[in-house]
Amino acid sequence: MGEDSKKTRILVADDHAIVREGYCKVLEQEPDFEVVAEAADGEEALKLTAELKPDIVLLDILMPKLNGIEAARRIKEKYPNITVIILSAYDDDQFIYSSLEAGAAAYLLKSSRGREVVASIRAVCEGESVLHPSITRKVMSHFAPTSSKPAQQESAARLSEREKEVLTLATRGLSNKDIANELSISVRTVQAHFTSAFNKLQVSSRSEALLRGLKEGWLSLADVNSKSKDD
Amino acid sequence: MSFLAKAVRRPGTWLLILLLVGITFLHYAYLLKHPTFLADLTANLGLTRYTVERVLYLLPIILASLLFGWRGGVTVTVIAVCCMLPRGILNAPHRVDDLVETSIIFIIGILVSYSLESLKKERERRAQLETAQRELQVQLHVIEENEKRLAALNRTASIISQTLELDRVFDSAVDCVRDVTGVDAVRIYVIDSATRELTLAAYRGISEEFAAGASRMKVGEGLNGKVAETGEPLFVKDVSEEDRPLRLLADKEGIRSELIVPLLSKGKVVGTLCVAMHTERTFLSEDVDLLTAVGNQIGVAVENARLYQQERKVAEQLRVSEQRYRELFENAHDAIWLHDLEGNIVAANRACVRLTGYSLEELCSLKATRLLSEDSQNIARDMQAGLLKGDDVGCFGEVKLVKKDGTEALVQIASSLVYSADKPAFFQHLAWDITEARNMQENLRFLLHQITRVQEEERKRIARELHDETIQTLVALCLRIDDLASSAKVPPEVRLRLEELYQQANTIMMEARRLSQDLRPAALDSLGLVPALEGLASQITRYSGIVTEVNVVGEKRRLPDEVELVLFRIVQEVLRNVWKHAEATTANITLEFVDGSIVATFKDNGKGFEPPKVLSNLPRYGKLGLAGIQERVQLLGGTLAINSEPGKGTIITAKLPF
Repeated sequence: MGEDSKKTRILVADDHAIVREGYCKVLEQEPDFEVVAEAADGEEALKLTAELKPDIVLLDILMPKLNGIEAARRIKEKYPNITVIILSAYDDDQFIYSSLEAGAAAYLLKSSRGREVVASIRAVCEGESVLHPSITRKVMSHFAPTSSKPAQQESAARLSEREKEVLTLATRGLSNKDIANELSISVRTVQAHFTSAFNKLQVSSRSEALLRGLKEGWLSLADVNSKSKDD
Repeated sequence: MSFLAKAVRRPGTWLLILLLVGITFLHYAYLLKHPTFLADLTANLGLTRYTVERVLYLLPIILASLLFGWRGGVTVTVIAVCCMLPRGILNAPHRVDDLVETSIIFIIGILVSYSLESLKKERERRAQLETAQRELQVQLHVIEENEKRLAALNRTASIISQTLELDRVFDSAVDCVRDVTGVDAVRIYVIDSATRELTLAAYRGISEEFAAGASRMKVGEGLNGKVAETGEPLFVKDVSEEDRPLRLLADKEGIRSELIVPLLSKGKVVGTLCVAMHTERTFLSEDVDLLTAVGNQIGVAVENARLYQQERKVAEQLRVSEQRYRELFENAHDAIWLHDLEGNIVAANRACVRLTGYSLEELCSLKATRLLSEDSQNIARDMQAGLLKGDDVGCFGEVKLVKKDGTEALVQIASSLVYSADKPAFFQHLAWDITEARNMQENLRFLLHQITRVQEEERKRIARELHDETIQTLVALCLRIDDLASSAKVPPEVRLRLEELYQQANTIMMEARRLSQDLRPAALDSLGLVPALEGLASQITRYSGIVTEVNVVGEKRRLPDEVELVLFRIVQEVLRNVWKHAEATTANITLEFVDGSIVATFKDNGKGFEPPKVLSNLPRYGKLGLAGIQERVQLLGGTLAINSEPGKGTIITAKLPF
């Protein structure tokens, strides 16, 4: 994200040292990744985040003192530009929803492989979605306002037409490449639109942007469902 | 003239005429100048011959008087005077004497006629008198006989009215019949309605042997049997000519005539009365009437005695059951008291005295409401109103009983209505002290609370252990295997092995995760009740197809762990029931956050059921899951309501304070 940093700086928070070590080892193998700190509980994660301002915070949910979701919420409140990724052993919908609502950019399962985790972190950095399209739709349905409330166009007004278009396509769970094909532009341009939109919306990931859009009403469920028949 | 014709036919008339002619001839014989032997005779007797001749005329006069009464006498006297007068007037030396004598004869003749007539009349009168007297005597006898009969009937009637003992009725009846009719033997048979047999009930004047032989006979069999069958009296002049089972015995006994009448009651034959003679005898109709009357009386007596015995049996049964009730009442372990509809206590048992501390006398002067605490009086009033409305035969309730010393006892009370003459007259209350039981129940509840808590704690501990140790170790293991497998140095065949190993470790991890989630959903502790319930709902929707939704009313907030856990477990149980039994297509969970409490409502559109009136009876209805819910809600001081009907779905509401 930061143009001057060569490596992506990562903070890993998990109360289990053995797991923490495992992930650190996986991440350290990547040349462009750098684990800047490890935290054993939520509070420590908060403290270290404030100190080190990493690019990415990997949080376990079930941690002593402060759980991962609550920690994510607080980090995002203070540092909206820091990307939070949840790593959990559980695949409960409620954990996924709560994590995304708290501002997490991705929800990864601990049963995922090391390279999957790495790929996901990279994708998030590039504004890609890391959720399976079907999960994306489920998540979007969950957060879509049940009653039609007047759209809060304030933040949307700042977005360009192209940026809105890119986000609308993203609600269907399309990858950057698919969006590029759809709009007949390059992947890099798509990425640039996302980055610009993220900055305008003060978010750090695609899922955050989509949630904002749904919550504020400038993205609608119709956009999410329009493609569901194809799956 | 008929009188003349009759007189002519009588020989006395001719004798009379002969006498008159003969005497007249003698009277005038002197004209023949031949004095007769008669004249001589009179002369020898010293009497004048005229006198004698004239005296002779008295003979026909007497005869006529005898034959024809005074009329005949007077007539003949006149004829005699006519016969005498010519001699006295025409040809007499002593004319005056003659006329005097003639007159005397005339007078005597008249007198004789008269006296004879009087005599005859007197005789006739006497004969009439005698006849009348005889008739009177006969009448008297009849009256006496009737009196005797009446007396006998009276005696029987009075005995029958005085006693209901059948044996005494029979004894006095046979005695009475024997005394009045003077028969040699009397027997009474009674029909046994069950066997249709005549049984010898009483007898007089027969040998034991005969009595034994004639003790039983079928209706329709023999003479008595015939009477029992027809209901008509029967007289047999000579029983030895009758073909009957008892003939030989009767012959030996020397019985000749028998008269049998039925014993009737309300037109029904209930037995027979049989009198017998050793000689041939014809019975008077009065005898038959008497026997019939006695027979009717005995019949009535038999019926009365039967009714009496029945009544006595019923009365005895009643007495026994009354006594049994009394014993039950008095010795019952539970306190029992009765009060009338105005509330005045009318009876109480020993246990009631023991429980309340009042003496029986004190209790019986108390109003029933004095025994109950104020709030319990309302409960009792409702129960009694329900009973009077006829809602229930009996009802139960829990009330506080106020003892004499002012202390209170918690009692379970069972009330019912006691009827008198088909109208509610009393309330009967049965009460047993449940203070102890309640304490025990409280203890049990506390214990249960502890057990539930410990169980949940244990589950949580195991779930956490699984999560913290097993799962995390497996996660690390998986990462390492994966890392190893990804290494470029590993030969392909080893990589394959490692891959398998990774899959296995991953499966174990998933299993452990599932186990941990089952024991205690991680979402509940970390995210709270609502997200956990939403997770549960989506799982149910996914696996059962029952569209399950969670709605939240009011401001969503975290609740005490215990409350959240109980609500989660309740929803788990309810949804499990809905899934397994209800055949529902939708289920709805509403959580209503109110100040200080949360109301959770579960609704389904399933087949419903008949919930017990009292929720504490749930286990008896086999609703163990619901019973567990009820128990857990109560442990937290909450309330549970179940509203269901077959075919109408189910609504369960739990209200918990926090």
